[in-house]
Amino acid sequence: MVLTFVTATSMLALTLGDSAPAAAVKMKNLDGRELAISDMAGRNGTLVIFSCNHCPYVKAWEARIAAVGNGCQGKGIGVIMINSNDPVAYPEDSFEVMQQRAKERGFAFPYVVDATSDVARAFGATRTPEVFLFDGAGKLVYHGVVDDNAEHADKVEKHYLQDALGALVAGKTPAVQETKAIGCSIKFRPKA
Amino acid sequence: MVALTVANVARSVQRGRAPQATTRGARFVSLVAAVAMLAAASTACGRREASRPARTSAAAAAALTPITGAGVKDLIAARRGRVVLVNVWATWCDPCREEFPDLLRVRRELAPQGLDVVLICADFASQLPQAREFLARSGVDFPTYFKTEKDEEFINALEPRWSGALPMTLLVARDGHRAGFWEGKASYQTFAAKIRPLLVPQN
Repeated sequence: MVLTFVTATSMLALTLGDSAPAAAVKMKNLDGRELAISDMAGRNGTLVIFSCNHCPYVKAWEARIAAVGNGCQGKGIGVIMINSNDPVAYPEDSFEVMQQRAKERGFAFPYVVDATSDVARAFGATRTPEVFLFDGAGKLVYHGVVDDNAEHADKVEKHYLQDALGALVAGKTPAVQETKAIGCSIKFRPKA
Repeated sequence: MVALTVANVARSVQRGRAPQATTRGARFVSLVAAVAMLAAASTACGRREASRPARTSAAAAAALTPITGAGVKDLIAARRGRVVLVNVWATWCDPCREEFPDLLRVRRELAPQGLDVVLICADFASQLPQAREFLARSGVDFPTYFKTEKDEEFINALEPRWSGALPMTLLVARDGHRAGFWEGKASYQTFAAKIRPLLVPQN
């Protein structure tokens, strides 16, 4: 039964070439504005990051995520970071801690609350952090991790996300389009 | 007889698996094996270790052995004929810690019928002391492993369906086929229901 569930989840996961699902769903940003993925779409592409506050893998990658996300400014790539975790289960994933974290890390991009976790479900996202990069035409061109070494920033050999963003800006298809890493499972809210 | 058994136990321990009784009704042999194993463990730890509290000796027994994805596959292959449950966990992963007692219960109850449980810690290297402490606190007194390879290679070697979210549990039948795959926490009931039919003695 669980196997069936996993298979079903995998079937729902986005594949390369897909458009962003739930792109019009409004989510509360740290500044109180309601933002949708489509609001952040850039002419060269859109970077969607599923993240949270409590996960050690997120913490390990957070400074690099901030640098990459902030670096998208002026490149025609929109960025939106989404927290789909249930703060009832994980108080550290609350809106208040999101605000603190964004301040500490200097996120220059929106960090929004997926209040039903349904945006993550629609993407088939399973863990944090997990990134989805869409090109200027709105097609998924990269899905996976930030780079190949969460633990040691100084030992990264493959800067997957940075390379994919570079390819997009250059009007090319990223050389590597799908990557994986261990991460915290998304703590989905119970279905309504 | 006893010497042979000790040798078998030593080999089993070296291979990181529970010693197996090779004949039916070999409870006495198992008992001797258990005693021998304890003796071997206390010898290995030395007298000073043996006199320390149980928690410390459990920590010593629960030494974490480095392993790669290819290593896990070799380990599974070497256990052909046994049912193998592979679980990847980390100390920072709440659902992993929550399902841990269920995994240990599954092992405790079903190991005598042919189940091996292979626990692989995916903590960062800097967290291994906490991992050892957790294992000791959980009463793990059998060899377990920690991932040394980069995530992606490890994930794909173990199970291509795995997204990387923890915990992940893989069930391998006696003939080596993948009989179960769980991404996320599962329960004793779920594991046991899937494992029990695979333990039916083979002819």
